[in-house]
Amino acid sequence: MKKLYKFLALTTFSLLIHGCNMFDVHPYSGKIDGRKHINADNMIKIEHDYANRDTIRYAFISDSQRWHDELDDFVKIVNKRNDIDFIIHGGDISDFGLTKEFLWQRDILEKLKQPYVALLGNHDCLANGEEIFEQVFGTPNYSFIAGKTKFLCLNTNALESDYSNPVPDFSFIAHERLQDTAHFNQTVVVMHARPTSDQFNNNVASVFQYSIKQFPKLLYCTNGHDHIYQEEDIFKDGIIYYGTPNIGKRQFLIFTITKDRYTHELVSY
Amino acid sequence: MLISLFFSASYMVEASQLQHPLQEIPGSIKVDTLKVKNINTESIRTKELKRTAFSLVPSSYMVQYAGSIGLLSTGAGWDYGRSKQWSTDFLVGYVPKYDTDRPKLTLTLRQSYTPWEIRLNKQLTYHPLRTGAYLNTTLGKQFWYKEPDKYPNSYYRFSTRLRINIFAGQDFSYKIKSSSSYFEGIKFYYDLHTSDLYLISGVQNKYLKFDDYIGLALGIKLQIRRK
Repeated sequence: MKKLYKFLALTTFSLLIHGCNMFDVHPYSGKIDGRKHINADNMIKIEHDYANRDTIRYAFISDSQRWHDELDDFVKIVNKRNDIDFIIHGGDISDFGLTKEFLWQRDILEKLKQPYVALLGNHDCLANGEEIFEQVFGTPNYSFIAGKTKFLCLNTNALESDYSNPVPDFSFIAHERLQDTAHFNQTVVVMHARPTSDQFNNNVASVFQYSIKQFPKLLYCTNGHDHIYQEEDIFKDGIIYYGTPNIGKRQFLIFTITKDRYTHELVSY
Repeated sequence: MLISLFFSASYMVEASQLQHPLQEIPGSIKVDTLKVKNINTESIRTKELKRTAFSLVPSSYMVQYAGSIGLLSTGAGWDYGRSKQWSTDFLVGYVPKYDTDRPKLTLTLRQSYTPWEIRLNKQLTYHPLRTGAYLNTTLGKQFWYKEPDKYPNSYYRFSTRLRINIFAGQDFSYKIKSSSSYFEGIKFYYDLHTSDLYLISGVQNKYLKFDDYIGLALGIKLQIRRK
């Protein structure tokens, strides 16, 4: 009997040692295994692959925090289609800012056949989340050009920041307006939290709107954060803000941009 | 631990109440017998006091690898109960910098319960279950108990600083042959553990597998000899 106990104990113990990837140092350890700096690499791919396209079509998803199953299903659905050029994630990849959350969601998104980029959401800023986001995905403000359209991706989570770190970053916006002007003739602005939302610095909402309207032919803006589908001309100036539902609703938006117009579609799965 | 503290305090009160009135009474036969009685009870009390005072000193030291409280943690523990089935540990953990801006320190308070023991031989004892919970707090401005005032009420309904963990594991205790060594035994343990935030993610998603949200910790506990 005692020998049996000994045997049982030793086998369980050795089995456990075997699964040594089960060692968890700390929920906010910032220990990142696997792919890093994904946005930068994928933007190069998007800019290269679709450089001469007149028409581009992309999926816009957002707020997938703690909806791993739903995000996984989204990836399966998009991979079955062959008309989506790339995917933009509107932020809130993590719910609690845990290092593992970023990696779980990254590993799901990595199964996408098409390139993707992710924005910083307010939940991604919790604890040391922003440090993890910057390592795994990249800087909170960035832009890329697909076809002839510049996608200006902005951090708008002002509530998560303080005055030492400008949100939105107007100097970045001004700089981007004059950057690569020969390569784009229309603009789309992508953000996590839209003007008027609890996260946005609403004191500068109209200034923000003015500054993005200085870009060549601003088509529309898109956002996440509110977890519902939105289509609203917030500033009554003809610029529509399209909000995409959280991925937990099993919904996302598809935008198609052609030479002289754009269309959008709300997809449920 | 808390229980023993409570008892030691109550003993002290009782002892002081007994001593004073008896010392004031001048010698008589009646009092003499009382005095003899008193010395006896006093020596018992002193012994008990000594024992409880001794129980404030940790009865074990430990080192742990992983466990969501740091890469390496070290601490002291108090074992108590009839067969030392209860134990309260306090650990300090170190989290290296990894891909973040700075390393972190954490503090852990752990309560564990080891209901059964199986003697394998004179030296070796096997505990098929050790289980309990631990609270872990991470030091640093980035982590808050309650969200700062700038947020609207209940904006984030959790704390980034305080994690509640539960665990279950096993251990082997080896009794050192010498009867006078400082340490009387060494215990090797492992724990499977999860925290509130990991668990909620795990139970809600089929995509996440057991080893995504359940962690493994290894530890060594050195038992101090009691005289």
